[in-house]
Amino acid sequence: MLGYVFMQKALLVGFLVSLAIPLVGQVLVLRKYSMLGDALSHGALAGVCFGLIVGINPTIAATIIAVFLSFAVTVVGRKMRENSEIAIAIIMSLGVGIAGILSGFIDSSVSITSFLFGSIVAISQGEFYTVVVLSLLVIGLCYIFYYQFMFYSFNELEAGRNGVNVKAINFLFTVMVGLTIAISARIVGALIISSLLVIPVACGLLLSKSYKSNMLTAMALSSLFTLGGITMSFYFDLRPGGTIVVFACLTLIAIMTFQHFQKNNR
Amino acid sequence: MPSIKLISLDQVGFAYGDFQIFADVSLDIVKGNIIGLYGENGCGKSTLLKLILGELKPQQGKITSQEKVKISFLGQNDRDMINGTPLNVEELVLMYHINSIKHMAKSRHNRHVGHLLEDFQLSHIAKSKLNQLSGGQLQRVMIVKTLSTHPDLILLDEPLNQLDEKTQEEMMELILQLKKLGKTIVIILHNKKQLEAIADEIYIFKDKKIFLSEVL
Repeated sequence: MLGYVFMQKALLVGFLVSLAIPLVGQVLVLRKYSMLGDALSHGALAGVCFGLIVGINPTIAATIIAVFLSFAVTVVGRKMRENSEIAIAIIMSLGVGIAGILSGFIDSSVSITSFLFGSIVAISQGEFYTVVVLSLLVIGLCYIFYYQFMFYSFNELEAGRNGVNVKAINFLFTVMVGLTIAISARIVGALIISSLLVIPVACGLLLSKSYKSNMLTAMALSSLFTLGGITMSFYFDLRPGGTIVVFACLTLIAIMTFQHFQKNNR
Repeated sequence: MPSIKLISLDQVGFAYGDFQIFADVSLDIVKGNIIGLYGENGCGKSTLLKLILGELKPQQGKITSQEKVKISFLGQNDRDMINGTPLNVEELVLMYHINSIKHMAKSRHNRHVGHLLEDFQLSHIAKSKLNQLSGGQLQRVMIVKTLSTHPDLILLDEPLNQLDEKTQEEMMELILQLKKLGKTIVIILHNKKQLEAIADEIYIFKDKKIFLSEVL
């Protein structure tokens, strides 16, 4: 498998993205914004379509749209306040609506399908560099602002009272969510990205005893799911995106089952 | 030694819409003092804390403070914040310490937090997740996190709420420990006897005004 250049690229890109996704996913999950990934990934499809129509790198176009929509969710969410989750549904509908219109202007539906279900083994050289740079950027920012993001995910109001520049952190995180969603859509597909944002973090919540260990567990499992999924897809001729997510779901079910029996045996 | 006024409220009034909560509230928060606030539900005690904290602005009167008074606040629903969080005790206190005290090496932050947990008998549960603590342990942790920011003034909004009798006694001892350390505190409690045991001054809310109960 490692003799093929496309597989080497797929594994490297998959590894980097799988480290970046749970870093953003943990903050999203703890802020009770798990479905934001779904909304943005569907919205990013509008960017993909736009990129394909005008002939620019679809990943970059998806990134711009995802970041834009990420801000839109924040703005609409603040206007709706008590029912801020409505913002996610509104933005998702808008993104899918625009993608639906734009898809009518694309000659081949193959390219869109590769974003719907992911196509890690078929990424271009340009996309490869884009994904590598953006993944490293997200990982680096999460490391630098670790304690600020920790507080932001714990309680925004309390973070503001205790020295965190919440406006700046909110801006940064909104950009990071957009970036992560866009690059991940290429790997696992827009339809299933939110599961990779959420499942490793959910496993971490079941297994870990601290915020840090939760994050490290989620990163380790996310890498395992991604690299394992890509490997299985190579040997069994399966779609990588779907394989990764099914592998992740089965692992979560296994952990829950094990803990259930462990609890009953005490 | 002359008393140092950290914050002064001068004829402060506040209303939510047309509903006047209180008017003509004047009080001085003097360094090292514990001020108790007492009154019926909805009389504006928590609103007064929010005004002192700066999260609400007075519609009448004025609030003046010394330059850069660092305030730490423990709200009555703060324990709800821990729902769903994977943070452990040490991480929580370190998170408050690092974000509120800038320009300090990580190793010093760790050392300070270690001492703080030790001083308040929390070292043995430092690695425990917040949602695995008992009510008493959790409230002790919440008070220590308000201390971890090295505040000049601590605001405690009903810190004994929803605690059993034994835990309330433990918390009272903890607040007395803070008093011995010379901390400046404004505290709301439902039980006047408990307030009398710890406060230097008690202000009673009545008929939309506040009255100094007694100087103990």
